[in-house]
Amino acid sequence: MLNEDKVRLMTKMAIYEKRHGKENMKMTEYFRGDYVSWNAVKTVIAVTIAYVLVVAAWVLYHLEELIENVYTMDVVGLLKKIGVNYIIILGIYVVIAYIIYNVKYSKAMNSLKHYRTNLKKAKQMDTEDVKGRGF
Amino acid sequence: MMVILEIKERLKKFYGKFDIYILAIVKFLGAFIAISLINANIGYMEKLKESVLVLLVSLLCSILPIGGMVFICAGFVLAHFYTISLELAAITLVLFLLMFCLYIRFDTSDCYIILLTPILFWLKIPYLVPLLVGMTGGITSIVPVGMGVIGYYLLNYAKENATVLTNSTTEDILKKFTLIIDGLIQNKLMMLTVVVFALVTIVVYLIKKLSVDYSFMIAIGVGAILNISLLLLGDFSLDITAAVGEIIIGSLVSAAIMLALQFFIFSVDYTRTEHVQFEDDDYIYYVKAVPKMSVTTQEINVKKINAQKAKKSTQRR
Repeated sequence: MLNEDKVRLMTKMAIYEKRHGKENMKMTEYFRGDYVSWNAVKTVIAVTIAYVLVVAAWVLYHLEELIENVYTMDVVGLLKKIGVNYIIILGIYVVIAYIIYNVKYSKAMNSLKHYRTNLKKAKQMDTEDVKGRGF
Repeated sequence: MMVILEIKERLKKFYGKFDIYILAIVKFLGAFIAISLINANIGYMEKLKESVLVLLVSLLCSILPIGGMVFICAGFVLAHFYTISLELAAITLVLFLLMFCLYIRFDTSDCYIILLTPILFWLKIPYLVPLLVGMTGGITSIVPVGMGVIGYYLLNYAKENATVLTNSTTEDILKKFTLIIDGLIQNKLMMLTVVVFALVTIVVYLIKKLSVDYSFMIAIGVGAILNISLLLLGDFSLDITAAVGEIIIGSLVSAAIMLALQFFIFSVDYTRTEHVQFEDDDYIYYVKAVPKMSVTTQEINVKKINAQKAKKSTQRR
């Protein structure tokens, strides 16, 4: 005979696995700190690429002006400005990434906790089934 | 009112039954409309305009996630731009990379907005964007809205200046580059639209969140009025020649479309029907889990009040 309660429970778990399970279970391979810092590193790389692209576009846009004034302009000051802006933008993005990935990790762990409780329940139902049949 | 509610329930039932096909058809149509509009507006590479190719790519999009559709459309745009000007294609690629590095990699769920915004602009209902995003997204969705608006104005710039960009000689690469960037950053209308759309999106989102009756209607109404007043105010103060009628009628039509969408699509919990497969020691289960219906369709119940009265009156006699 089919145990309807068990089927319901297993269906719920299967839906969870299908929707979020795989992604969330991957997170369990990491400790919170490792997960957050690994993603922060990826953010640093992405922001650096973006910043290099913006600076390159800015230089191309002002190229004539820059070539004309190359001997009179304060090159060190300009480089300093570019560096400081980079650090500020990077700082903002790393903080945002830190918050986002921390929240993501906490949510995943909470939902996995619920999933594991259901898993235990299903297991218990299974053993009760076997006992009921007199094995 | 009951009739509309019944239609809503029937839609929900219908969606629950055929969700796999409906989703695929909607994605196919979305991709087909998007690619056709791109081809119609900036179709400079003739090979990409062949209807067989458009159909095949749309079919492919129907089985891909939304991100895949956005990626393919971005590829179409780049290919068309490459045909008229390498510089334009390069600038667009840089813009796409910036969008990816700074926003999409954090939240892929919103990236459809970047594609939807130019589509709604081309369909002449751009003011639906902030209402739609405010009602369905979050505060951070203002970023893809802004990106979508910039994307549209870039596409528009390419459309209007295609001959200038194509005819210039290869020697003035730098000039072309400066020309394109100037065309973008000196576009006051684009800047105004980005700011107004962001503000309207935030206001609609905040009002929708209020625990007041009919908050969604209030949000849409206030959003439409705010959109009209901010755009008109901005147009006058920045000295942009504005089509006043277009702004007012466009906003009102967008509000009406949004009300209909909200009622029939977004207010219903179309929790997807799930097909799952699992097994235990005795069985293999193939389960189709269908979300429960909350309101049943009207049952016809006729009460004959007059007949009872007549009965009573005869008894009295």
